[in-house]
Amino acid sequence: MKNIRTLLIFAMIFVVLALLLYVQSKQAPSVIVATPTVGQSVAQLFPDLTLDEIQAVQLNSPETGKTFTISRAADGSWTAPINPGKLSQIASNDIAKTMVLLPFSQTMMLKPGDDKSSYGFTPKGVLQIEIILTNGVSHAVEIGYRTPTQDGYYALVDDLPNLYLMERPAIDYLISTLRSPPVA
Amino acid sequence: MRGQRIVITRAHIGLVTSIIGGAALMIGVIGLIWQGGFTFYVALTLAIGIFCIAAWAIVTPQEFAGFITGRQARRSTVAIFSTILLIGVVALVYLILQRAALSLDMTVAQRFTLSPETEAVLQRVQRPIRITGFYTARSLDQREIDDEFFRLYTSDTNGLIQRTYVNPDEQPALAQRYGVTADGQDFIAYINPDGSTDLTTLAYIPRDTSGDNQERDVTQAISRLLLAGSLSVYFDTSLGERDTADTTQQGISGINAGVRESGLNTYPLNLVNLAQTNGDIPPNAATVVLVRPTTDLSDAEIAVLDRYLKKGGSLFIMADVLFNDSPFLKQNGDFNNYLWNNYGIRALDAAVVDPASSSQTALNVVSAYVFPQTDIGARLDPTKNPTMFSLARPLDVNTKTTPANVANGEVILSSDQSYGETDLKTLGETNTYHYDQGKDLPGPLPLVVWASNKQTQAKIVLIGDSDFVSNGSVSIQGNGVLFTDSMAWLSGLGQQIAFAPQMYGVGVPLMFVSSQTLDLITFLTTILLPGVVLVMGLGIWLRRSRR
Repeated sequence: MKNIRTLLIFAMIFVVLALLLYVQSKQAPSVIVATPTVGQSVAQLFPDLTLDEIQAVQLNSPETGKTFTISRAADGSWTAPINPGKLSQIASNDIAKTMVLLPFSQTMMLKPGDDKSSYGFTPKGVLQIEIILTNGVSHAVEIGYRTPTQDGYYALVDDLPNLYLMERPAIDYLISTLRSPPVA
Repeated sequence: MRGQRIVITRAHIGLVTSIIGGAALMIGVIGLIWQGGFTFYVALTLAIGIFCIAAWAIVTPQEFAGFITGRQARRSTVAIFSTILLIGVVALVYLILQRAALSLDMTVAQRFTLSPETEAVLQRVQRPIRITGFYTARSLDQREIDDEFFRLYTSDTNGLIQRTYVNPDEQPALAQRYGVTADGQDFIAYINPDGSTDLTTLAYIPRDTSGDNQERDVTQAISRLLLAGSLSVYFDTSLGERDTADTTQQGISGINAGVRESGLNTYPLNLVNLAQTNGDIPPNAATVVLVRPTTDLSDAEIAVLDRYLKKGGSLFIMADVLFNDSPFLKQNGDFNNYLWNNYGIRALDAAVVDPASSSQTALNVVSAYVFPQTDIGARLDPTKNPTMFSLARPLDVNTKTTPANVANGEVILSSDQSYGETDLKTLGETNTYHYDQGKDLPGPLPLVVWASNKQTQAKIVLIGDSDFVSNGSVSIQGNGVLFTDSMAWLSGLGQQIAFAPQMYGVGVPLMFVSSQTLDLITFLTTILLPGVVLVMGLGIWLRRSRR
């Protein structure tokens, strides 16, 4: 009987404390942490991609309609099929290397029905990147607004449901390349 | 022992399922309350609990019935359930205490205790206030540090001041609504009865970049919120001053907006009209601001200001070098003499040239010396937060034969190598200057001075430049701080939060524990360790029971 009494006492204390925690939970919380995001490190968007696998890269601005494309010729050199003039091979290689490295710092889960316009997708972003590989596979990256702290850009990748936070320098470089293509 | 067959009886299965079922139900109930609803893991835990209890009832129905009725419960089963409940009680106590935001400063120097000045301000908080911090994933450590500090405010107001943290990367629309421009920015606002943030009272909490005045910055923001709308500042517009509505680089719309953001009301004032009609400055005027009038004041206009000051008014004067016939505050002018005779401060007819402490040219003077013990100069360390003036007038303070009941002094000085160029005609026509011994004024020269009448409580701040508050310059280095701290002292805003030396440390706390680490410690101490003891006890009991 003594053991049963102890058990009942513990049970009553448990119920009282559980009720207390419930009441405390119903009150306005003193701290609301939106998302328990953890520390991050920069990673490659396409970690398995190599420079040799890239057949063509297209940059397109939905706002201005401006497009810049580089494509690899049979001898391995880069050509700009749309832009007349002499294409800088160094700059083209830099663009391709940027595709290989394309760094992002964080991904965020988007729920179905989430409003993407606040991230800059209305529905299209400010920059569209398309990478075509030698094996015929292609990747599409849609770049949205800069983040509020101006450190990066939002991005949607292929058909993946996540929102990516791209590192700003790489995207700034691609935007400036589209504005001033390296064609003499 | 070796070769003995292990026999698992229904009683053993019943015991194990009862333990797992009891533990799972307890964890499920706590999880349900903790998470505020059903999550996948909560539902899974509860399902396991119900399944195991049901299995217990099916496998050993008599034992189950005996336990439920309390008549024939086995002592071991009761003891195990008592232990499970004890673990649950400890876990609940921990959760309740964790959410209660209790703080205990155990440092000898009371480093993590709010100052009496802050506590005096917090006693006036009657309405819920929310501090909203915008921190990205990159600033999680800073968020933890800041939260340790903000928690003190929550604790001191019994939860009236609440804290919310938002990742601006994840909620850009919300960040835009708050006007977030950088990582780690904090905002303060009242909370509506429905729990939403009252954005009409939203104010940014300016943070001293040196990080030395964290408590003062936050408390000042709270104090401004409490005072919002109760203080009025009047900008005179009748003497050709800079325009508070002018958004160009020369205008002063920025400081007008800044004053409003600080919770003060701003209104235009027509001093000329008041003088003509023998009117008075409105009695609710906490401060009257003259931002570079272009013409000097008449006797009637001086009389209006005199009446206002004698009633305890405050005057903020910014005077530029002017090249017109009757410039504002000309050295032997009536208003300059009035200030000298009644408050012991005046402007001199010269332009400060400082080859040693300047930016683009020697006429773009940078503060060289600051009196930090003054309310206005406290945040203007020339090495960290210099102020920059353009074509500034030197000032003068009569500290030897100060008028009765008047206290006055200097706030900012130019360097020892500076001088006051008195040949303003040549300067204006040819933009050339050189030091003339015996004619020009040797440095260092006062650039910002103050005066107050202890009897009437009148206060004056006189600054020999107005360019520093123009839209193009106010955001440079300490220019904005000079204006806001001058305004705070004059309007009485500063009196509400007069601070002793900052006491709170802003570095990483002595023992920094992230929330993830804290959760791990909780798990180890309240779940794992007692659980291990329970399992060990169970093992011993099983071993003995088999003998």
